[in-house]
Amino acid sequence: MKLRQLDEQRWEIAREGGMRVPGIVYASRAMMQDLRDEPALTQVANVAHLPGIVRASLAMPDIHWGYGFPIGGVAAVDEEEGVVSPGGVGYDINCGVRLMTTKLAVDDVRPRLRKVAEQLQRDIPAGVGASHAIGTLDADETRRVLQNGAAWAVERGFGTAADLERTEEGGRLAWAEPRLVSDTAVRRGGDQVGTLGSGNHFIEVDRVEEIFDAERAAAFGLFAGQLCLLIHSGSRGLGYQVCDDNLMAMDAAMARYGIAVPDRQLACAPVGSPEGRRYLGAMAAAANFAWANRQTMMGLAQRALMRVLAISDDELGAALLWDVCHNIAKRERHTVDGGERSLLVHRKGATRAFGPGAAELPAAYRALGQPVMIPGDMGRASYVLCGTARAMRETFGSSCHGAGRVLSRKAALRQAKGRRIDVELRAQGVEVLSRATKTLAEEMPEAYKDVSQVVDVMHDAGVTLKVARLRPVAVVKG
Amino acid sequence: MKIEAPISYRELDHTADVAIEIDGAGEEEVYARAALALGQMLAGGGPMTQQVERTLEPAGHDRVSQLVGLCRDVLAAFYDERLILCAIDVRLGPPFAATGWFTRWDPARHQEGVDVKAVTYGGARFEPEGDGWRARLIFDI
Repeated sequence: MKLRQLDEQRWEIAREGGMRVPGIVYASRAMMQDLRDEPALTQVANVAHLPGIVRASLAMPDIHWGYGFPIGGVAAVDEEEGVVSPGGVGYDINCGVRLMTTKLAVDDVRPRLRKVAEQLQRDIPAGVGASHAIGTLDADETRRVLQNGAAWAVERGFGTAADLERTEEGGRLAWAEPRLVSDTAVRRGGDQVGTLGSGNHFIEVDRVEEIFDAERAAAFGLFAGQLCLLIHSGSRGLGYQVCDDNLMAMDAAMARYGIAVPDRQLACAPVGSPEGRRYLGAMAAAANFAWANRQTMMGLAQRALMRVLAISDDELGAALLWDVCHNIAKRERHTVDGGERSLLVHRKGATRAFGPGAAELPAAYRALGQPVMIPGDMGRASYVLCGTARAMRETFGSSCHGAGRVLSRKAALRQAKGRRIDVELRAQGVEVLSRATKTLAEEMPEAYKDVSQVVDVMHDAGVTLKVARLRPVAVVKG
Repeated sequence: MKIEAPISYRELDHTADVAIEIDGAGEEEVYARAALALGQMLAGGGPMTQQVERTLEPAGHDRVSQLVGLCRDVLAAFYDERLILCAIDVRLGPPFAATGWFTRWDPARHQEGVDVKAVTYGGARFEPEGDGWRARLIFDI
C-alpha cells in the first residue's frame, strides 16, 4: 500500500489494483504511526473497490478496524451507477447520539449525581437483550414505529414537536418501508423501544467545561457549567436483524450483478436493484426505530431527572440540542467536480456535519452549520462541534463520530485486571454504573484514543469547528 | 458426530470485536467447534447443561456462508428463546443441517457472557489447513 501525506491532517492511499478511487485518511502524524500496521487502512482501500464510488474512500481520525468498512469510514456512491452495502452502514443501523441541554448547573446538583445515575439506570433498561422500558409493542405498533420514527415517541408523550426539528431528518426517513422488515426483526424490536443496549452504549451526564465558540454555543443553548445529557444508542436487535437479513441476500446476489469485492462483508447490490431497494427500505425503517428509541429514552431520562431532583418540567428546562446518526446510508446531493450529483452517502462510524446554509438544517442552525456531537471515553471528555463549508467540499459533509478504540476488549480486560475502574473514575469525579463489571473494564478510558486529539484533527482540517467541551460527571453504561 | 462444550479455540486480537480461529480434522468438526465457541462466549463460564434440543437448518451456499449461517442460527436461538448452545451434531448434507443441544440462559449464572450481537462475514475463512481444516470468524460485540 502506497501512503502519501497530503498535508498536516490528510493522507492518501494511492489507487492500485481494483481500487476505483484513492483512499483519504484524516489523521495526525502520531495517529498514522499507530495506524500503519492496522487492518483498518486495508479496509479503506477495500471500500475504494465499490462500484460507483465517487471521489475517494474516506476515513475520519477515529478510524479503527471494523468488518468490511473501517469504523470511521465514509463512502459516497452515485445513485444511478453505484451500489449500496449494508456493511457500509453496520449492524446497529442509525446508531447515534443526542444531546439534551437543561437549565441546571452541575454544581447545584453534584451531591445527587449518584442518585441521578441510579434513577437513569432503573428507568432505562441496559445490557444485552435489555427490554420492557415501556412495555411490549405488538407487531402492528412496532411497524408504526418503523414508519413514523421519533414522531411516534413524541405522540406518546416522550418529548415535544420541537425535538423533531432538532433531529437529523426530523427523526424520520420518509422512504422507509416497514413491510420490508422481517417478522423476526419486528419481534426482536417489540420490547426494545426506550432501551439502551450494551457494549459502548451509554447515558452520560455532562458538565459544559469549556466554550470555544461563544456565538455557536449560545445558538446551541450551551453555557459553562451547564448540566447536559448525552445518549448513545441505536436500533437494538431490530437493526441487527435487518442487516443480517440483507447481507445474506446480497452475498448470494453479487455474482448475478458481476460484482466482486475484496471482503464478503462488503456484500453489495446496485442501489436501484431489487436487493438494493429492499435493503434501503428496511434500513430506513430501522433508522426510524432508532430515532424513536432515542426520543423515548430522552423522555424517560427527563422524568428520571425531575423525580430524583424533585423539580418541575419548567425548572429542568430540557431541550434537545441535536440528534445525529453515525451508522447510515443517506440520499444526499453534493457538488462533485463542479457539478451537483445525487449520491448515496454511507457513513459507518461517521457523522453528518453539514455546513452553513444547508437547507436540511432547522432555521435556528442554518446560518451557523450543523451541531455534531462527539462522545469520548468515560473519563476524559465529549465535544460539541459544528459542520463547515469545507466539510461539504471535502468529506460529503461528514466528520468523526467518537474517540475510536485503541485497545482490543481482550487487551483492555488484561490491563484492568485487579483494578476497580468505577472506583478510579469516582476519584476523578465521575459516577459510573454498569450492570456488568466486565463492561467497565472493556470500556475504560485507556481503551480509547484521546478524543481531544481526534477532534483537533477535524478542527485543524477545517471540517468541523470546536464549539464546546463537555466533561462526564455521571455515566450509565450498557 | 455429537461434539460437546467445552472445546478449545483461539481468540485473535481485534480492536473492536472478537475474532476466533478454529481447527478441526474434518469440516463437520470445524463447523461444530465454531458454533460451540459462540455458545461458550454467551455462557461466560456459566453452566452448560443440555436441556433443549433443536434442529438447525442454516442458510448458505458455500462453506463460509454456511459457517456464518450456522452461527447466526445459534445466536438467533439466544436472542429469540434465550438458549445457549452446549452440544452439536453437524451434517454436511445436502442439505446442510445440525442438531443442537441448548441450555436455558440464566441471567444470574451467565452474567459474564460476552454480548455477541452479530456474526459477520468480515475476514471470514474456511480453508484446508495441513491434514485438516481451519476457519476464522469475527463476532460483532
